[in-house]
Amino acid sequence: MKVYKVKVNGKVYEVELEAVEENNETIKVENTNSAPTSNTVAPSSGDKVIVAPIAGKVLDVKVSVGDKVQSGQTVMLIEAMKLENEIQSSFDGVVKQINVSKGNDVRNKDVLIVLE
Amino acid sequence: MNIIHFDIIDSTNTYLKNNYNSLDDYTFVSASLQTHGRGRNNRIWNSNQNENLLFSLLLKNKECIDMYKSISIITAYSIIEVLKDYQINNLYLKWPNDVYVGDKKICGILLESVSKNDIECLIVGVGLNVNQSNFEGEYIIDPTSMKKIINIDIDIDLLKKRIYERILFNIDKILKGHDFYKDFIKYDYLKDREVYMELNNQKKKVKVIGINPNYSLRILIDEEYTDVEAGEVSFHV
Repeated sequence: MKVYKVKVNGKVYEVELEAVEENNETIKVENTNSAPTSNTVAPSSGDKVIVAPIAGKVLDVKVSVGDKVQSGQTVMLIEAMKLENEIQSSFDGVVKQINVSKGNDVRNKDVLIVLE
Repeated sequence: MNIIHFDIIDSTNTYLKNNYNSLDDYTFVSASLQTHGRGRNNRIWNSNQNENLLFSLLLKNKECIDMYKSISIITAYSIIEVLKDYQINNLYLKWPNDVYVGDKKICGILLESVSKNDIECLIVGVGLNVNQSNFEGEYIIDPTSMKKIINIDIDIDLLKKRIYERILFNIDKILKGHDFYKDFIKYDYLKDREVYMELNNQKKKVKVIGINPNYSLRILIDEEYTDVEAGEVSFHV
């Protein structure tokens, strides 16, 4: 590993560079449990979707398919870095589909829940 | 200053989560007793009535929301600065959200938010042990308090005002472009330590390199450098 000094916006940073073989994989502990994406159904027109406001990990899902949900009701908890994020519905409706479960990682703007 | 105080409340964080719509930005809510005080992952936060400083700060403006990754650490750093004013030394910031004196915990921070399709507000909850001398029960990390260290009773109202002002002062500085990295890394408790990392119920020994400028934590695991952000990761010395 080599150490270089890099100047960015007038500040000098010391960086370490390491050659990585093409097939080597860096361990990414935050991406060990990704949300399923292949078997989810695209929302149809008229459906209302609740999306992830940030990338993170699902701590808890507070609703089930078929539940009635009111605007402002907490439907999910997501943790991102040091932030515990309470996801509230912006709509009234009935839960048609839940795309994630506890422990899944989600990306910013992933569709979490579909209401009808 | 918009300061609200309750003698008893379930949780100051919960109060702000339930009322953020009608409250002003930078509202500060404190309580003499929380009946359902919480830490991260719903861990219970115990505190004797009237002996400690328990508060939450509401942040609603977009600039603060956009820098949510830095808020816990800036809050911890602000508290360290105030504790130094009380001649408390040997202070550390344990990533991501605790303040230690030596190897004992004096303060915990819980950052929460409420979102609809975007983050509506941030809520910074703080429990600081002030005048409590006896801590009954079992703790993962031994607790301590300001009084146990400097052996005098602290005026909690004055301390509250100082901490509120220092947090707002430092938030204002960071909004104006100040880089706190060089300030807080000197308090990095985990830096260069070999610790056990717990992820998905598995324990692994790792070497901590230190807090990154983007507030994630760099570790050396299986001879690979990795930056940890996930909240499910916990560290035990």
